[in-house]
Order: sequence, then structure tokens, then C-alpha cells
Amino acid sequence: MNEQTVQNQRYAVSVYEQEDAGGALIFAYVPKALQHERGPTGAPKRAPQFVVAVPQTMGELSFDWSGTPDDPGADAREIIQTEIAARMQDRSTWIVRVNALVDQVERWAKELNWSTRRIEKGIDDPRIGKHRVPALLMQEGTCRALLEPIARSTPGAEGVVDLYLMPAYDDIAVLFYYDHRWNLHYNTARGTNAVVPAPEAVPLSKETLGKVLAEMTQNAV
Amino acid sequence: MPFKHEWQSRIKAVEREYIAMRQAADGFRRAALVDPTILRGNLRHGEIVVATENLEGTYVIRLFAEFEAGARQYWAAKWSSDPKMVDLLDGLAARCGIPDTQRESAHWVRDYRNGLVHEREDKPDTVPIADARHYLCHFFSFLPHRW
Repeated sequence: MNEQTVQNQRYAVSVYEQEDAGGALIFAYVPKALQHERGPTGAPKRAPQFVVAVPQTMGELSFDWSGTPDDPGADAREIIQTEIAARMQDRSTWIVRVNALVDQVERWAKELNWSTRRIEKGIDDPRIGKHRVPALLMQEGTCRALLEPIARSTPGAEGVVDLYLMPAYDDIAVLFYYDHRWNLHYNTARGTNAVVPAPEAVPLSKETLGKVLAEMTQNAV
Repeated sequence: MPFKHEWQSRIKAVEREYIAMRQAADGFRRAALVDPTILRGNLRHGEIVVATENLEGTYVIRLFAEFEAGARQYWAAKWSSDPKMVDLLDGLAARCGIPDTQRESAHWVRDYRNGLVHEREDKPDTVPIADARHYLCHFFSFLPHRW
């Protein structure tokens, strides 16, 4: 089930983590057609809400419906669980993809004699909920860079990661995941991405990363 | 959220939101010139023009608000007081060893933001949002990694 299919479905969905649910992800489904219905007095009617908790564990998914205010019925439960499974798959794919990227860039950076340090980045994604992924600080001499995951999805790409010159978060390059690999869009102009033409893309490799880092070092103030 | 990088990341995210809205607003402004029937709710084209012209300033106010929230959180965690913004910047600079260049740049953004929020005779110099983010993230970088 792709994202477009899911968005066209009949529920408004919110995803969040609840501390008293032991770190489980809570999915709340509200039927779209019933969201704004009004009763005889004109007051908004309470829309049914179907809530399911999904523990964040490895292996087979389990669904805990014990906290749902309303019962969607067996058929709708099946549809919702299938849809949640797709979201959890997307969540896993993205987290694994970003971790692999950070692992790879960290190895290359060290081979290029940059020191590295990982920090955590929290992301709130409307489809897969809140999650934490690694970001990578790199430093050579006085020049510092940050590889920061930004978004799981954007039109034309399945992942966006920014590369900034630190400490001021100046845009240097953007990594987009498409064609089954990370591609480096390098900003030779300083400033925001919005005011420069779309930069040329090259596949991310140790060589292309090294070229960007070397130019950063030369231009760093 | 007592992590320096998370606050800096939030400041940067406001700039990215601005970029998104800049492109959307400019596209809408152009489209409304070609086809005025897309204007709904008694909206006039001149109001779109004003909105697009004020957009960057609006986002500078939001960007500064994120910066201020982070700076105040750190200050409150350490010194449990609620100084005026001008004193907060100077106090952080003194206590965190922030160089004068970064302190003055942050004041420049603060002054511009004040000019946007309050009616003033003297108009402060405009600070483009990319510069505002640069100055405020740089200032913030002198705070500890976490608190």
C-alpha cells in the first residue's frame, strides 16, 4: 500500500507516543465523513475514534485495542491493522536507511581524517509518528559540519538529509534518496536553498562527500 | 528539550518553513494575476501582494521566538530569573563567553524583530531570514551541549 493510497482512505489519522503505554505507538483513526457532523441543536457531534496501541518491538506486529473509545467492527479493524502495518514498515525502512547513511558517512569522514560525534535528532512525521534518528557532527580543525536527517518523504524522493556548515546551520548540500541510493545536491552558493538554482546532483560516495567537505574547509570562516 | 542542537534545529526548521511558504505565496500571487477567480472569501489581489511582502518579516518573528524560547529555557534552568530580552542576550554572552561579534549580531536581529512587532519612528535595518538564522544559531552554539 503506497502513501497516496493511504491518504485517499476514509480516516483522519494521528500517530503519537504515549509514555504510560510503555513506549507503544498510538494510532488514532477518525472517520473523515463524520468529523464535522452536527446534532439536532447544531452542536458538533462527537466523532467516533478508533484507537490502537502498537508496541515498538522487533518481529511480528501486535495490536492492542483495549484503549479504544469506540469499536470500529471486525472489518474496519482489519483494514486499520493492514494500514498500520504499512506505516510501521515505512517507519522501519526510514530508520534503517538513515542509520545506514550515518554509519557510512561516519566511516568515510573518519577515513578523510574528520573527527565525528553522533547526536540524536527527534522527528515528528505525520505518517509514521515521532521517532529519533542519529545526526552526525563532523569536525576538521575549526571547520564543523552537521549531517541532519530532515524528512522521510518528499515528492520525488524517499528521504531528505541536510548537510550544514556549523555552527550557524548554513546550507551546504542536501541528500535525497531516490533511484535506490543517496544523491548529493551540492549548493555552491551560500545562503538558503530557496534563493539559488537547484544544484546539480551526484551520487553520494566517499569522493563526492570528500569534495564537499574539502570545499567547506577552504571556505569556512 | 534541554539539548542545544534540538533548539538550533528548530530555529533552522522555521527558515525551511519560510522557504516553503515563500514559494507557495509567490506561486499563488502569480496564479491570481492570471486567473482572479481563484481568489476566495472576498480576497483581493492587493492583499496577497501585502502578505507576500510581509512574509519574510513574519517568519523572522517566529524564528526569533524559537531562539528566545531556547535561550530562556537555558537561563531559567541555570539562574531561575526572567530578564528582559536585551539583558538575556548580554547575560548569556557574559556567562557563556560569547564573543562581541555574535552578541551584537543577535542584538541586531532582536532590534529588527522589535521593529516588526512594535510601531516605531526609526525603522531598524532589515535582517534577511537567512542572516537572522545564521546569527542566532551561531549565538546559540556557545551554550552548553545540554542542560
